[in-house]
Amino acid sequence: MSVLECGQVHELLSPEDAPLSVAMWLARQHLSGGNVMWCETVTNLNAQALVFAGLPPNQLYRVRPRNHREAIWAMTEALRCRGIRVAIAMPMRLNDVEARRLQLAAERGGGIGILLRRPHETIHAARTRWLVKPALGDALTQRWHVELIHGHGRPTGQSFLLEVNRETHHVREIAIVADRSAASTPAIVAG
Amino acid sequence: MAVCDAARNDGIRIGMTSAEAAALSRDLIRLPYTPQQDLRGLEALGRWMMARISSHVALAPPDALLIEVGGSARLLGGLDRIARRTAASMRSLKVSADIAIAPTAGAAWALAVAGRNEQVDEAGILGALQRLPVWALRIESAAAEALHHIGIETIGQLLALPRSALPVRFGKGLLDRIDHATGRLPEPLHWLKPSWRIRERMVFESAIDSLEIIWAVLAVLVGRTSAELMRRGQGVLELQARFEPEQSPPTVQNIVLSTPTQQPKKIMELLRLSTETLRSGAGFIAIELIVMRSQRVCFQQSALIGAEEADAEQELSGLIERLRARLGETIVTRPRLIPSHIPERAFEWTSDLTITSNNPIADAIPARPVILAERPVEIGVVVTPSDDRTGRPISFTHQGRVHRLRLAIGPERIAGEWWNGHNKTRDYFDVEDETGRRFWVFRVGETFKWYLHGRFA
Repeated sequence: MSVLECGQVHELLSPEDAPLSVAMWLARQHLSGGNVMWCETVTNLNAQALVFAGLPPNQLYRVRPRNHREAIWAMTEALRCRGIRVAIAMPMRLNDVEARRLQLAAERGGGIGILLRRPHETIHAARTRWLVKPALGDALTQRWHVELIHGHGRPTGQSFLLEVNRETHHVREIAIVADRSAASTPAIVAG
Repeated sequence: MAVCDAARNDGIRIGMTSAEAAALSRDLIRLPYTPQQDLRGLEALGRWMMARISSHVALAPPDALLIEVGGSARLLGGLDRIARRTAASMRSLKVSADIAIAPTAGAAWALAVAGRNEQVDEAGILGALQRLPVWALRIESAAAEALHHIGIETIGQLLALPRSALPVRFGKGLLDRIDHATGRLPEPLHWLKPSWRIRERMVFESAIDSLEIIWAVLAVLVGRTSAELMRRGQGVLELQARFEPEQSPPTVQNIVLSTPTQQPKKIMELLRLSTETLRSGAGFIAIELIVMRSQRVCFQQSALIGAEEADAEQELSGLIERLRARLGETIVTRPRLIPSHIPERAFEWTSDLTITSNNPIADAIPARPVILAERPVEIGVVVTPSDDRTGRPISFTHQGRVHRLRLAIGPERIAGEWWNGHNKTRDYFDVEDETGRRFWVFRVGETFKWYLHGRFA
């Protein structure tokens, strides 16, 4: 998963909490000295956590739109902008026009768009879609189970565990070789 | 109040009733007396003079301007020419005026209000004042009346009185005014400050309300503003657009730019974004653009960094400007890290984007939840049995949902004052429920109450 295609929008779908940590990690992976913009209405985004996750405070911008229309407009503008490497938004419902606009904006800007959404949405703007669920962790790590459910040319069904060390804040991507549920102890290969 | 020369010739005087005046002249035009607007008009006239006669112009409301011409005399070819030039300027504006030149502001004013378009020098000043009425000294009407009662009508008569007796009978003000006029006492004047602000304004005969027309007007004003910016070698950093309805106070839109710009296209784009939702109501009768802040434009700026990087930087500032213009000035924020061990006080989101923070040493502090409530929410928690109520959490209930915990990592003790300034200790636990969701909960050491503070989402 670690390399997402640039100039594209990617979606992280999650049944419960929006997987902000996974988005942070992806943003850091693709930042390469650029800027990241959060375009969201989550009221209590903890800046300290974002910075600990490796997003430098001076490259971090946040926009808080008041409604869906503003959010889509702001996200489209952010994606179009070559000064933003990664733009993250949490839109609920998208219509075809909005989805297309986001995609075109990302192509123009050359960065990466990450949309955090619910799995049941029908209209997607994204090149790849990933289903993210919490997985069981331990005293030192928190884990997420990430599965590619739609991807151009990529094998769908491909799964990873993402592991965040709560002491060092390091993130490890662990490929799951056998197709087992994340809750059982998976056979893993460090990635 | 005032009357024009034509009306005066018909016999109309200040202080008449409207009916009396109407009886004297058939084509009488009556205009309301608006001191505020008159003052603005006077200031505008003063600024007009600043550009033509002298940079030192002071207002003497309600109807006089004081212009220091000593410095301009040589430049403009002598006092005669200045007087002629001033008179010509006033004529071209269709403003009737009496113009006098004297070594002191007081004397010039006295001559002008007495209708004596004269020039006097140091030597002639006393002689010229002699025959003028006392009110020409800019004295209070009470003092003028008191002088009238004792038969003093001209300045000459006044000057003949013993100096020492004046302050007692007529107040200190009178003596000061005499001295201002004769030059015995220098008179401080409040010169108009040169206006560095670029203001472009358009007034309409009838109110306009369609956004298309408003934008067309803005485009014209932007064009003029941009031309003036280029002339001055400056770029705008903050622009104010004022939309003035006929009755109510104006609607004001501010646009803040991150880099100084002169480009009309860019300015117009931002104006368009910020006025999309403009409520025109009954329409506007005037629109004005004011450059609130500007800065010298530096063309070498982009040579310092790589071209591509500069493009990206420029696009970023463009993006921020557009977001601010359409969604509000404080819409874009950036984190500022604050050295505090209280989690909710360790950062803030600030719209001041010039603020820079240092990267903290992250691994000194264990994981912090990405969603952190400003105010922790009290929750019910079941803890492991213990004698002193300090057991570890087994499950908690939040919004009617029971979370059975399979992990409780901690406690991490954070001491000190918290949200209400109370001095209490918190014992934090990272807890994970059976589905793998993680929360940040704490127990207050003093009260044993439990709170949910954040989510590791």
